[in-house]
Amino acid sequence: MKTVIADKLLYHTPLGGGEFRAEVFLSEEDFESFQNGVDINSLDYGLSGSDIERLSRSIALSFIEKNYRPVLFKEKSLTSLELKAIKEVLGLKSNQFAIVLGLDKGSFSNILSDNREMQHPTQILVMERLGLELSRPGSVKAILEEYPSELKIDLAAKEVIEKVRFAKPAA
Amino acid sequence: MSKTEFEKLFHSLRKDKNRIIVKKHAFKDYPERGFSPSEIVELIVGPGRLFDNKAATAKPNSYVWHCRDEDENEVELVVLIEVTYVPREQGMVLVISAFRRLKG
Repeated sequence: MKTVIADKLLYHTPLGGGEFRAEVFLSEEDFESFQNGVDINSLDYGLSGSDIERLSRSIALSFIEKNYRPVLFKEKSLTSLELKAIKEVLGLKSNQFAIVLGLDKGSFSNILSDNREMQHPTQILVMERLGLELSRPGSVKAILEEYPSELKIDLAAKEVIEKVRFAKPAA
Repeated sequence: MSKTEFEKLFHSLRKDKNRIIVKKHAFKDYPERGFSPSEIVELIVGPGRLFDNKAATAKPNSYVWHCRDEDENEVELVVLIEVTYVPREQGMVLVISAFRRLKG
């Protein structure tokens, strides 16, 4: 296997795409074709995990630059495909992303499967979380680590409420 | 390389995302399977089990990594290990194909 630097690698995600410069891995056969001037995009190249992450982040950055204001002023609505791509950039699982957005898992799953429309404040929060992650990598996961204590309080409160609600009336 | 040796090397390499290479065929040639390169990397890093690749057209020394996606669908990723030049002489995990078996 050989590595080459491709200057015009086409890479797309639901958040956008374009031509990028990246290190790609080629088989001996494909390397020869590349040396003979064959376009890299027609070859079966390989991308490393770290380059995939870098390209996705760079696409997400131009997405947020282009779409933050339109989302803020209700000129654009986030699609479920975009939401899935943002979830990947943040490196979160569905239940974790739901917590970060203050939603329950069911509602978030309905949004992802297009059964429910996302509220405007939630869309703004998604863009905020994405912006935070891109400016300070790891920030969103840090929010998640802070969360369990709040969640525990929520659960404890729920338990008390249910006890009160279903308690036998005092004689 | 025996399966045990492959397994040992695979588990040590898959911890490092730099050592996972996703081939274009795995994420671009079958868009209906809905794989993105990042999802494939996460699936390799995550839990799963290695099996022999019993496909008729299987590449020599390739194995199948069985795992589950977030929606609990079964996923099969065909993996190879390639030893490359210095400084990556330890090898790289190559994901050459990806298949998802949808529930129901």
